[in-house]
Amino acid sequence: MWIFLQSEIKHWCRRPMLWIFFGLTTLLVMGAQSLDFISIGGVAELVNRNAPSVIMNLYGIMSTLVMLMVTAIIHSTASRDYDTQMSDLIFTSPIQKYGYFFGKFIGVFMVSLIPIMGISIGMLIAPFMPWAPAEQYGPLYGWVHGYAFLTLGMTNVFIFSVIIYALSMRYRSALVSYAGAFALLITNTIASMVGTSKIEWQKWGTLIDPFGSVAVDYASKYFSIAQLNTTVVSFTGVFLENRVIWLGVALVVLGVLYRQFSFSELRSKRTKQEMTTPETTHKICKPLSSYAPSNPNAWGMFFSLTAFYMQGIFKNIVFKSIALFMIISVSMSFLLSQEHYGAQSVYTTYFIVDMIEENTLIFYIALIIFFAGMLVWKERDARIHEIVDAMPRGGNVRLFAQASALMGGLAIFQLGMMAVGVFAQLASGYTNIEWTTYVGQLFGFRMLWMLSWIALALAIQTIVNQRYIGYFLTLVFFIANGFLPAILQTDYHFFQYASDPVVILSEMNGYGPYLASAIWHQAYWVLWSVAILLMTAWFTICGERTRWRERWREMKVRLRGSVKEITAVGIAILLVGGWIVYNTTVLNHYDSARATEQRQKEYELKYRPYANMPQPRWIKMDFDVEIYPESRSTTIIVDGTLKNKTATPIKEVHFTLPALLKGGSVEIAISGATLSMKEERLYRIYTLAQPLQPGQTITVNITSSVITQGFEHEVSFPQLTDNGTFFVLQDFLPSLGYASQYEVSDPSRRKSLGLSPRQRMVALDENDIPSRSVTFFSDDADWITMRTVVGTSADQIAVAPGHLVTQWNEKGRRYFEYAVEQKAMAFSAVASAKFVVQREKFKGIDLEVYHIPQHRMNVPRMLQSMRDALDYYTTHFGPYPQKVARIIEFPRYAEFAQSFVGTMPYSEGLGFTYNYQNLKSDDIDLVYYVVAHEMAHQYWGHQLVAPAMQGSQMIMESFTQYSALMVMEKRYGKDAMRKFLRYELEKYLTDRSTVQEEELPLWKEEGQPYLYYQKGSLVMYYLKEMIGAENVNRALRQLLETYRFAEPPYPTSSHAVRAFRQVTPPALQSVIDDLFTQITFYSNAVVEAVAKRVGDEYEVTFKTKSTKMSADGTGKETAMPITDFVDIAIFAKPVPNDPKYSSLGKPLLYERVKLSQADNTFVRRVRELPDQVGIDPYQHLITKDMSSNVRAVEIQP
Amino acid sequence: MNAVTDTFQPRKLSISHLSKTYANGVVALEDVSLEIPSGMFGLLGPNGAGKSSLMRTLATLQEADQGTVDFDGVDVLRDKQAVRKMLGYLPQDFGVYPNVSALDLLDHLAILKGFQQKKIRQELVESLLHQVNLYEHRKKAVSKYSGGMRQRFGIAQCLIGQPKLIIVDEPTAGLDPGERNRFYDILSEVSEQAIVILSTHIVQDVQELCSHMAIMRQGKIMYCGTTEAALELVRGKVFRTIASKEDVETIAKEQHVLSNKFMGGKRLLHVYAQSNLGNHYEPAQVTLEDVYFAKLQSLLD
Repeated sequence: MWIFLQSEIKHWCRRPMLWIFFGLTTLLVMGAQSLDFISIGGVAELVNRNAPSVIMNLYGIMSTLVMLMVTAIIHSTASRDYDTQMSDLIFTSPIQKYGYFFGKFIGVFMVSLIPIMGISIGMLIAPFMPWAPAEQYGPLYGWVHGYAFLTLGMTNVFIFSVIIYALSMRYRSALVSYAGAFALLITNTIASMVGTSKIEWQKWGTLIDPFGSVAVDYASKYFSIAQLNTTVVSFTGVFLENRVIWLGVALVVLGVLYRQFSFSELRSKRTKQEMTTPETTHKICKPLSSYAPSNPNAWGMFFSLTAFYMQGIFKNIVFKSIALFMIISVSMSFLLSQEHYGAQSVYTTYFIVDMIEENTLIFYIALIIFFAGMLVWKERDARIHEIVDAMPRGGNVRLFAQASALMGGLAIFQLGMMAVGVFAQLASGYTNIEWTTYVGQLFGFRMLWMLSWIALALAIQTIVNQRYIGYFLTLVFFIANGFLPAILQTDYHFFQYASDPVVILSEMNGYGPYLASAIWHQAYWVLWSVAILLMTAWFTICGERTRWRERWREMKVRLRGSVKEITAVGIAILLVGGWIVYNTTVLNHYDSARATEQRQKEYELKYRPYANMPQPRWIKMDFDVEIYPESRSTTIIVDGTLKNKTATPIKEVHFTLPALLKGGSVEIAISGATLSMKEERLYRIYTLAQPLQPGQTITVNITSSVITQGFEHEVSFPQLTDNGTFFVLQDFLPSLGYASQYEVSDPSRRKSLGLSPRQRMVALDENDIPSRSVTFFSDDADWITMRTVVGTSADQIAVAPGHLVTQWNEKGRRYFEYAVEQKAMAFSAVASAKFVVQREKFKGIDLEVYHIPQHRMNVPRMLQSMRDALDYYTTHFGPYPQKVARIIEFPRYAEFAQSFVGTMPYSEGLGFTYNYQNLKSDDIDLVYYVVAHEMAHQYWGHQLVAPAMQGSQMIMESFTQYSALMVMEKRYGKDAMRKFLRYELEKYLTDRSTVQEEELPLWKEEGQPYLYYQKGSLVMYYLKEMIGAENVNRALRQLLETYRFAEPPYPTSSHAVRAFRQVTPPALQSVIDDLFTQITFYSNAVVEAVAKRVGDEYEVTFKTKSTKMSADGTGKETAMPITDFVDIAIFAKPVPNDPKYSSLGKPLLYERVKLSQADNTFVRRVRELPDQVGIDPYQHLITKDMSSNVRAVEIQP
Repeated sequence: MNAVTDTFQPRKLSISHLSKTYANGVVALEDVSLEIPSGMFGLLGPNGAGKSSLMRTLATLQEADQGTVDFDGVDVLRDKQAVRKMLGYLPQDFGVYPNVSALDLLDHLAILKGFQQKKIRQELVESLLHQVNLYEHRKKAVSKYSGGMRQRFGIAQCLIGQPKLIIVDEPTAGLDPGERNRFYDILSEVSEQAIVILSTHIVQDVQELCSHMAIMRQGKIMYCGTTEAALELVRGKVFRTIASKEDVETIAKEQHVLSNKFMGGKRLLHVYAQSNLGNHYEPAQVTLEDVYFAKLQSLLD
């Protein structure tokens, strides 16, 4: 045994492959750890680059690459004795089975550990690189390297080794071994899909993952930044279970393999079946000389060869097995996909196509790389190349036939994917199948994109003429190509191979504005593919000419033969390229991300001094908007009034021009004012003839026109489009004074641009009146009056905030006039599309849903939610101030819903296409929730507005979340809230570990969605649980009554917190601090529960353990004394079919107790048989440990 | 004979001063000059003599460093495409695509040779399969054929498209005598209309089949001419004797031993000498083998 072990290790130490693998791992990790443009897995800004969690993360992610290396090593060892035909010699010598089997295995396993050592070594040397950012490294955690190496690195290598060793020994085919590796990879992919799907499914993902990384992610998802920087997932729970399962699998495989392994059996497989030649008589037939070859026609040969190569592809086992994996993977992606809160989209064609494209990419790249190698080496593999090379053939025909055969093979795959997709659609009952989308995406853009990679893979294989180096180089090129924009600092598509513009499909608008640019770019790359193939044909190997001198000589001869073709293609590339450049940079304006940053920087440095210059504010804005959907153009005319609300006269009015306005123009007219400074597309200063005195007003007219010409590099404004226009008017209008939102916001980008750190949001201070006098929307206006006339094509309906005053037709166009009842924020939008409208009246208010005919399925649900929301809000908060409440569908170029006055645009990708067919009773009705939320903004945002100060979003969004929760609770019951809050908790806890900046208490949030949405929901709901809804509503109503449509200063979150204090009984005052002004975590566990029968009652005794922690901004926690009211409960047996009691049974006892110490014992009597007891059983408190709140009762005799 | 064969004219392949040195320094061809007329031409030489290098160069598969090759006015080394249209080549060692039947594979190769029309191609392929007696097995995978069948398949593909220059490199290695004869039947049949160059290290093959021949050693041509003339070179200078194992060594020291083989359990030695050595020696019936070994030992210069 030792002999085999030693010889194995010796053999490998001499092989360069091993050291290349090791070097590659080291370099990759070192690069990722020290350079900005290479990244392996993403980490939050505040997490050190060498933090313990990053070590674990890297070991997990690198497992993929390591597995491929291990496969190469193990397969080579397992099949070496056969390949070199040594097996007959070895197996007939007197050696023992276990010695050979385990000797070789242990040897090669030890060798396979070398590449993964590169992970730690790469991490350890990265900080010493001269370019390494020293401030981003923390202290060295040596033990974590050891821990990660043992639990992830070595364990994974062992699992992979065993499985690949088994496959190699059994089948001795490289294809089968790599297919096995691929199967492991797919298992990992599916596991991570499951691991990030619905909360209740996630745990399964951690168990089926052979890499263990899904388990690590799952176990560390609630880690705070402080934990990520100092600790790792412990070897318990799902992580331990995962490792045990997979080590078990590996050991079983090893055992079975060893039992089956036999020298003689394997040898006998090598016998060949012989065939005897029957002596048939020589048939007399026409002499051969009567057959003359027809004049060779390149096309005929091309088609015949294509067919021949395609047959070869179809017969290949890799083709079949990958097809199977792809079908599994894509089907899983359909099933597991989820939108927010576990809701699923219906299977619209764009959804299916997106899923296919997302989940097949890695397969296609693998297929292209693999089959390109196979085709280029096909003749030589079969050793028929000498015969074939000595035959006349039409120059490039063979190469082009290889390319087209690969295209054909992949097209068959796409056909299969489409079949799976259509099947999924029909099976789910969705019949609006858009064939053009399928064909256009799967067979159009995607196939052409693949052609680029086919051409490149064939070129690399042919030119390099070393199959495995060819595979490797193609893969490296593919990966490196992804980093090119970062390295070259440009995102222009010409500088990244096969790069083309983003296309977002929509059922509303088809390809919409994306088509032209996508087609031209695709044409450009197709021409390049042809050019590459033409040039590659110069280098194809013929006969024995493998030396570069000989190939070069051949090349020159062939080049002369294809001058015409290559010139033609070259000219075509120049023409198409020129057309693209003309369209993207002459007709339209192209700024790279870097150039845009540079402009932002210049703007900031030049105009920042004007930031505090007093400016007037709008008090009236009347809009006259013309939308030309078919030409994607618009004109916006503003007839507005500015008022000096300051105490000093204003001499100059400043305007920052809209950033989006690239091709259009802006005209500003102020009577008597002169344009004293103008910077194109950036800034204008108008000097007034007479200074505007305090309280005085002035009329301003603005005309902004946007004309779309040609196509852009990337569609910058899809919101203005053929069918489904929806845009915010302010996007095209100049804003008053300096606009700080144009500044570069990313802290690290600011640093590298040499800009000082950006001013943070104004600190919460209710005495800071100036800051309280600017709304959270903008400093251009407070409450204004607003009317809008909007014109569009005759076949479309145009909508703007407010109620419809009148509509008319004029010059073949349709016009609509809308007016806002009360005052509004200077935040307005228009929409236009071929809508159908669903209308009804409720409490004197017009409810309307504007949507496309295909998307009527969820409309009743939306109307239901609007009615319920109006009902609740008018009862508890006050009157609804508008005459109308309407929802307007817009294409999924953005996936959100928004609230303007009485008007709520809603993306087709959100509620309009959610699937409610299989909605279970405890599933979250997301459409209902979102509508209730947007309706609540008609109060929080459009009646009461917060200033641009810390905590403003608590008023705007947390209250809105609360309102929606109450509407939902009323309709679906309290139990249905649990699942929703569970998702909120999940997102709050996971997001706080990935944020860029330290966490703040809720009342000082600075616009972090995980705080104002998720924590907001949790906090408000818990407050309601503690003090009751009527008290919360009383406080909210009082705030609203005080500040409804009120001029500045605006109310802050401290006003809100004060309002809550006023309605909270003295005993519960501390709750307000725990929730709003501090970051608090609770943990409640039942540690013991017994019950015994006393008479006809049961006496239940249970012990609980509670902790309360206060966390700082990085998540460092300190224990706090417990003086809290917590619920305890005793439950009967769950009733599986009753949605209300399916997880926890009927409460036999539910009681709120005051805790004043960590350990408590409760003794209670119930009349029915108890099953479980719980402390805070519905988890209203923010907790990270959700498993021990409830415990089964032990019944004593 | 039909019209096509009537137009057949004798052709000639002239090789002059062909040289080739491999990257590793091995000299494969050194100033090789040959005139090859129509009919069967035998190229004899031990393994490593440069036969395959010469064959591959003629088959346009590799470049020569120097020299020219002319085939009826076609510059073989430059105008490869023209040569390939007239060429039939059976490499020394070849494989086939796995699991492809003889029918399909020949069809595929016929496409590469320029047979576009499906009907003609089908007829041609069937006729070829009949000719090499593989018709019965046409639907079986060539990769499962026995050595002889595979060689016959090789000759079938070689005959696609009426080649005027046929190059077969060591075709009979591993064939049993029956298979070999059948193979030669086909070759001699086609040699009526083309130049067939047969490279081999089996002397008997050449003696039986070829009217012209050459002997190669270490990249050089040792002899070139008719088979008859070759035999003349040694006629009357070869003597045979029966010897024991011990004697062989002594004789080898004193005489030029051409061959040493068993005959009926005894050792039969052929010895080259200008005159009869008397005693135990008697004049032998000269064979091409004697010429071959005499040339290899440079006895005839």
